[in-house]
Formats: sequence, structure tokens, C-alpha cells
Amino acid sequence: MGFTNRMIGRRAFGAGAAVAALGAALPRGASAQSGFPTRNFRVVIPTGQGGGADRLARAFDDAWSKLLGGRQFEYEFFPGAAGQVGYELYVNRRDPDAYNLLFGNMGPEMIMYALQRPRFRFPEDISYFCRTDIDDSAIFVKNDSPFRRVEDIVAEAKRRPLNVAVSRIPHPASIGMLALGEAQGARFNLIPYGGGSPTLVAVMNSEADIGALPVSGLTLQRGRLKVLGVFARENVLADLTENAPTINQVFGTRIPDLYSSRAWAIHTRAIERFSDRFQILEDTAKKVFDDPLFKESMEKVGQPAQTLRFGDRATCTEYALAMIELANRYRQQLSAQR
Amino acid sequence: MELDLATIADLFGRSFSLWWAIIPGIALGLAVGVLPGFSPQNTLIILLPVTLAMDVEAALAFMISLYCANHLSGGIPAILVNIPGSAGAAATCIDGYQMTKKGQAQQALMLSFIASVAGGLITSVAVLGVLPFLAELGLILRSVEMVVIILFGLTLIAVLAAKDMLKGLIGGAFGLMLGAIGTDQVYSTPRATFGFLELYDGLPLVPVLIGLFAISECLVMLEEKFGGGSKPATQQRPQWADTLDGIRLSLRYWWQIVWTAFLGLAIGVIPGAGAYIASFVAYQQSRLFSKTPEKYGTGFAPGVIAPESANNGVTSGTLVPTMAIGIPGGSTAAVMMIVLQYQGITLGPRLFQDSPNIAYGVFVMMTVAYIFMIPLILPMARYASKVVTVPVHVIVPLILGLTVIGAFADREYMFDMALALGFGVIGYIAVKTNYHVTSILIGVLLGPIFERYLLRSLRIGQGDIMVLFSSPIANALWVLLVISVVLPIWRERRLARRAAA
Amino acid sequence: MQRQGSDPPPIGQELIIPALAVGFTAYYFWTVQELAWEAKANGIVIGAILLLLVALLLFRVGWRVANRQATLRFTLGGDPETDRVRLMLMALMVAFLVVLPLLGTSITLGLMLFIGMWLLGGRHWPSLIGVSVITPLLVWATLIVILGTRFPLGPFEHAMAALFGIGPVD
Repeated sequence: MGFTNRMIGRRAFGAGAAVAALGAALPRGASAQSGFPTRNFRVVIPTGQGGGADRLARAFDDAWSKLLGGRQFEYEFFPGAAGQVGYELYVNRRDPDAYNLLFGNMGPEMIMYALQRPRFRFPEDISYFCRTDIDDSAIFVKNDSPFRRVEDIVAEAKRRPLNVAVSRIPHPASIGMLALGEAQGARFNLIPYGGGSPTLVAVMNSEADIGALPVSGLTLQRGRLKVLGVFARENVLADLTENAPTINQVFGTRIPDLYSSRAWAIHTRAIERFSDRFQILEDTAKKVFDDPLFKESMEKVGQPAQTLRFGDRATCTEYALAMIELANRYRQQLSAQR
Repeated sequence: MELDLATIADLFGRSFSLWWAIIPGIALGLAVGVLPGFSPQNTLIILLPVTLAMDVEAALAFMISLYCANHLSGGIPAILVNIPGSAGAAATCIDGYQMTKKGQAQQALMLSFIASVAGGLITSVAVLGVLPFLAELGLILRSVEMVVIILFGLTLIAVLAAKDMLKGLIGGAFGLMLGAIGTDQVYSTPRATFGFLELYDGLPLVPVLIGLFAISECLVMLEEKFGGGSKPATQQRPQWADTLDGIRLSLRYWWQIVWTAFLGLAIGVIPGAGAYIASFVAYQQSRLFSKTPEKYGTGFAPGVIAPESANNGVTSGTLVPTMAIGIPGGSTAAVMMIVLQYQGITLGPRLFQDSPNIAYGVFVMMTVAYIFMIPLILPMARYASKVVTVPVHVIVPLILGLTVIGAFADREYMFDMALALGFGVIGYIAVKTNYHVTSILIGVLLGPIFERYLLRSLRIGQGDIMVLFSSPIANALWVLLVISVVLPIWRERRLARRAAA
Repeated sequence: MQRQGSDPPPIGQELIIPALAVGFTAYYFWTVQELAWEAKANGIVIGAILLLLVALLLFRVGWRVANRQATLRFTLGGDPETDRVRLMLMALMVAFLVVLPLLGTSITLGLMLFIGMWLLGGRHWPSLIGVSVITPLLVWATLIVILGTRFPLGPFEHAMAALFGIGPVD
């Protein structure tokens, strides 16, 4: 939303409401940049309204919009089938004209791609070009849980299968739990709650013994939840997670870094056909990371600044392909096909 | 989290001074609620540019009024033309439309408005008093308990089917099967989608609702014009006497309003449980405890009161987990959270220390929004009931056109319009062959969430079905469930025996 | 349908919904056969109950037909004239969906309302024209322009955008 933070008061409200509602529809004067963009962008989000991707996209576009001649971003939400609906719809039913974008969570959605074989191909049909964050997967418990360290969890899971609340089965955090179990001979019973929020609740109300989620959402629940370990080379959020260790440190395992990464994506055909437009998008998206406004709005929505890390098209593609490979390795446990 | 009277008074004062945001919110909410297909969360998403730019308290007041008013007006088309404006009002059709057919449209509207406003008012005030306790309630009720709570709603299928049990159950089972369309809860694998991308996320509620109720009702209505079918007794002019009669009825059943509102509140507190669960469970419970259960379904006042009061009780409930633990209770609450976070307000337990004016303020605003609705409802009942005097040849094309457009508006798929027409035909056949459409709808609505909670419970029990009986609260609920199924049967037997004697 | 003399009433129509339900259940079973138990447990249990209930119904119907209390003839109880209007109305709605992407929401809705009212016997021209002009305009102004819902656009919407700059362009 390219709106300034000016507060609307009573007098301005009537007029303001009408203008803002019409804002998207009314044609504007010539944009600051020559040619592209001449109209607003339409963004497909393959998860629900008010979810993580929704919040991050809106926090990002404040700064991005400024660099794109004040053009706004209009969001459409197509959740379903772990992102399959949104991706298929974007690839097959949106014009590849560089005005239609997608903002998704590369990790879970590329696992979905590997497991569900949707009707599009990566990276031939769609390319990620701007990673916004690296959000490491973490194991967490309720604050008053008997498990004080991640070692306690593994020890118990060797005795009996532990119930693990996860957002979805096809998710990096879930793969992390499976990999940890495999390496340590522990058994984890994954229970998908279909989103971050219900997963948090399941651990808070002790329905599940432990949980595994991207770490940034957990930092908001400090005091209720405790992070015991992260699936990463280092814990960049050590100060917000009571110095939780990394899993590989504790167990000497070699589990790959498992993180969620939100990213902007575009039709690969749009890159080929409108390379000039794509150039502008790529350059401006990168510049957003230099804008203090960007960090500020991200922190406002609860995304710690340490997690914000730009990644270009090559980085994104490499990560996505690695995720697809990983998902294929755990296909048996992750997929319903028997 | 101490609250003294001075703070409360101050919060009330501030909320009243936000009238300029509350009144447009109410107006928009009422309009959006009448049209099936336009949900409060979609409206709020569209209006985000406006609310993000507003002062945070004003934005909240606006969003809350819109949300509450939306729950109030969903009952209007349900009563007048048998078309629920939202899924939460589907249960209102059962008795509301029967009242209209008996020529009591105004009374039914008054009942629905008073129940909604009173239910919302009572619960939002109550929340202020017991907020910390309520926040815990959301954490006490887990998947296993939810399985039983949803079963309460599902028993309504059998209740509605009293006339022909076998057919009613077939209708309900058909609905449940249809509700199982879409990706599974554990692995996200699509099932029975006929290859349509549009069905991956399950059968969409709005087109099904529009088809089963609105379109099928249009096809039935043609009888009034051509078939010489019984014309509903609606030709009389709206009279203030009818409005007063509605008020009298509401006062008579005030206790119904109170307890069903609290039922709605309790269900609303559970994250993920929506207004439609509350309204069906409330209807079922209300009938269960009634001395005259046989009157339900024939245009009986408590049958209108229970679902309406409960679905407004939900409005107070959904915001509890949002404020107290920072987890939205529903999609409308999720959108409100975006606005709050954007303004730098961290939700969760600390909110009560950091910004009590927001934490308690939202419930005060809600109370005030309901107070503002009171003067609106008298004239609204009087004039809205005029809808039934519009001639069939005008109203049928209008309903068809507007609801099919509503079917599109929810998800913006052309597919949904065709789906609505398809369900219109199914609904018409069901009506004409005495398979209760409400039973089918209950299946479609409650089926997916039933499966979700059931499978979660079974996964938690690691395959052991006894997990369903593993918690004291759930076991207590099971006992209540058994009682609520057996009691009516036993009572009927006894009545029959007495009649025979 | 009037019952004439001692003719048993038709009962065939009562089998439409069960037939749909059974057909769908069979399709459902077919789509989940290779999935893990979690993905099909719920559907299979409900489907089994449904099949059982339908079997009971078939038994009941069969028994009644055998005892000449009903026949398998088929009716939805509508008189021929009303049924003809119903079919035309549904055909009109199908046509509405087909034409919608071509002519856009406002024009198609206006046409549909006009033809619909005319089919149902409305002959009062001022109200026919009034309703079918005002309603689409209201829909256009509120839903398309103010709320920005992405309804299919056609000549009218494009013209308004081009001439007055009101409403969406693409």
C-alpha cells in the first residue's frame, strides 16, 4: 500500500474513504518512470488473507511502491492444496505481462511442487526473483514444558513417538523433524495444523508435545513459548530465542539448513518477453532493502530485521531446486500416495 | 489487568466520540450482510487502504461495527426470502422463513434484530468482565472437544429429518460426502475434485449456499405465479402493531437470547470455529431444552432467536484470542490484526499492559456499535419486510441475477457461478422430493471441519480411536451429546404413550 | 400431480438425490483408493453409511412398489406450464454465464433481468426497463467501481473508463 502514514480524521474520512476506494480504479498522471509501470500490479498470494505472506507482502510493498512511480499492489488470495491452487492459477490464468506477480513461501511451496506434481513447471513457467527473508525452522515447546533442552526431546522420542505440531506436512520444518528423527533413531509423529497460528495454539494448549515452525513467528510469543533449537548453520535470532542452539551443533548431525523464504515471483515468459520491465522490477526490489522504511514496516508486522535478507533470481532458483530434491528424498513420509 | 469504572467510562466516552467511524461501518456491514457472497473479511481487505490510513482506534471502531452489523443483517434475507446472507444465518431460515409464510415477517425480523443486538450487547459487556478467563477457554478446548461440539451441530440433521428420518439422513450424508471434496487435512492431496482447480480448497460455501437456498427458492417461487400454489400471507401492509408484537415475543423469550448468546461466545472464542457452527448448535440446543420441540421448524420464535443471538455472540468471542494471545479467531479477526500490527501494536498478553485502551477498547467499541444499532432496527424491520410484497416476476430475476453475481464476488471464479446454478437444481429437486436442503447444507458446512478435527485427534492418538474419549471435558461433552440425542426420543415416546392412554 | 382414482402415486423422483449421492460416493472412492488412510478414512466411513441408508431406501421403495402403494413413475409435482418457465429460466441463466465474458457484467445483467421478467409475464414496460437499467448501474457503481471486485468487463465498463475515467481499465 503506497499510503503515507498520515492519520485520517473525522472530516477527511468521508472524502478519504471514497478517494481511497476509487484510488485503484482512477487513472493517474504520467508515472515517475518512463513507460513501465503504467498501472497497478496484481499479486496472487497462494495462502489465506491475514497470513504470513499477506503481512510480509504489504510490509514490503510500501517501500517498493515508492520506487515504482507510486503504483500500488492489489492482492488476491487463492489458498488451497498447500499453495497448488494459487500457483496453477497464477501460471495458467494470469497474463505474463510483468504486471502480474506472485508472492509466496518458496520452501513449503516447492515441496508441494515436488510432491503434488501440479500443472506447471519450475523454473520454466515461473521464476522467483526477490527473496525477502530467511526464516529458519525451529523446534519449540510451551514455556512450562518438561522438555528444557532439545536433547530431552530426542531422548523421549526414542522411547515413544512424540506428537509434533507443524503447519503442514510438506514444509521445511517438517522435513527437519523427519531428518532429525532419522539421524537419531527418534520417532516424531507430525500433526499438520494448516497454518502458523493454529500450530502455536496446539503447543500452547498442550495438544501436541512440541512444535516445529519458522522461528520469526515464535519470537512474538516469548514468555509463552520457548525455542529449543534451530535447523540452521547459526541462530541469527539468538538474542530473541534465549540463545537456542542449532540442531547440528547439539547432535553433530549434518541436516541441511531448513528455512522458509518468502519471495516475489513472476512468469518466466514475462522475463523473456518484457526483459526491460523485469529489469526495473529486479533493480527496484533489490533497492527496497536499502530503505529504512522497509525495515521499520517489517518490524512492525513482527518480522525481526535479522531475518531480512535479499536473494536474487539465481539464489532463489538454487534454493528452490534444493528444496525439490529434498522433498523427493522424503516423498514416502510426506505424501499421501501409497 | 485491573479495570476500574473510571477507565471503562473513559473508554465508553472515547468510543461514542467515534460515531463518525461507527455509523458508516454499520451501514456498510448491513449492506454487505444482506448479499450472500460478500463477506466481512473480503470487504475489510478491500478497504485496507482506508483503514490503514486511519487513526488506529477509529479504524478498529469502523471494522468492528462493520463486522457486527454484518452478522445482524445476514438474517434479513434468510427470513424474508429463505436465502441466508451468510452461512451463519442458514439456521435462521428454518423458522424465520416459516414465520414469513405465516405473514409474520415483521415479527420474525424484530426477533432476529433484537436477538442479534441483545446477544451481541450482552456478550461484549460480559467479555469485559471475564476477558482473562475467556482467553484460557480458547486453550482448554482442543481438537477432541471440537469433534464433539461439531457433532452437536451434526445431530441437527437428524432433528430436521424428523418427518422422514431415512431421507433426512441421506440428505445429510450426501452433504457430508460433498464436504469431503478438496484436499485432505494431512497431506494436502486433492480428492474428488473432478479435476477442477476451483474445488481443491473444498466445495466453496457461498455458491453452495446460494444454489441450495436462493436459486432453488426462486424455482419454487414460480408456483406462486403460475402453479396456483399457496400464496404466502404477505399482502398485508407493514404495521407498527406487528413490530410491537415482535418486541413482545423477544421479551417473552429473553432467557433464550441470553443463554444462546453465551453459547455463541464460547464457540467464538475457539480459534477457527465459525459463526455457522454456533448457530446450528444453538438451534439444536434450543430445541432440545424446549418444552415444545415439535413447534420448531413451523415458524416458532425461539427458532429465530437462538441462531441469531448465537451468531452475534460469536462476534464478541472471535476477538478474544486475537487480543489475548495474538492469534486470530477467524479470518475477519486476521484482517483486523493486520491493521493493528501495521500501527505497531503487538497483540498478545502484553497488550493489556501496553495499550489497555485497545485491549479493552475493542470490546467497548463493540458494545457501543451494538448500542448504535438499536435505533436502526425498528424502522428497518418495518420497511425491510416490504420486500415480500414485490411481485414474483420482478423478484425472481432480481434474486437470480444478484445472487449469481454474489457467487462470483466471494472468490472471483466464473466457475462458482456455474456451481451455484448446479446446486440450485439439486436444491430444487431436494425440496420437491422432501430431502431437507438444510441437512445437505449442514453436511457441506460442518463436514470439512469435522474431518479436520477428527483427523487431528486421530493423529494425536497415533491411530488409537480411544483418544476421542481421553479428556475429561470431552467425555463430559460426549455424555451431553448422548443425552441430547436420546432425550428427545424418550420424550416423544412418553408423549405418545400418554396420548395413547 | 393429482392422484386419479386408485392409481398409486409416483415415487421415482425420490430416487434422484440418492442416485446423485451414490454416484458421487463411487467417484469419491475411486479418487482416494491409492491414498494413505488419513486422506480417506472420513470419506469412506460416511460413504459407507450413505450407501447403507440408500440401500434401506431402495428396500422401502421396492416394498411399496411391490405392494402397489406407489409406482416408479417420475414427477417433481410442477404443472407443465410452470416447468416450462423453470426450464427457460435456467436456460437463461446458462446463457447469462456464456455471454458474461463477452458483454461484461453490466450489460449482461441488464439483458438477463429484462428477459427474465419478460419470461415471467412482466409486461409493464416502464418497470421492466427501469429495473433492468437501474440494477446493473447500481451493481457497476458499488461492486465494480467502489469495491473493485473483478467482474468480467465489457463494452459498457470499458466505455465508462475511457470516457470518464471511472472504473477499472483492464
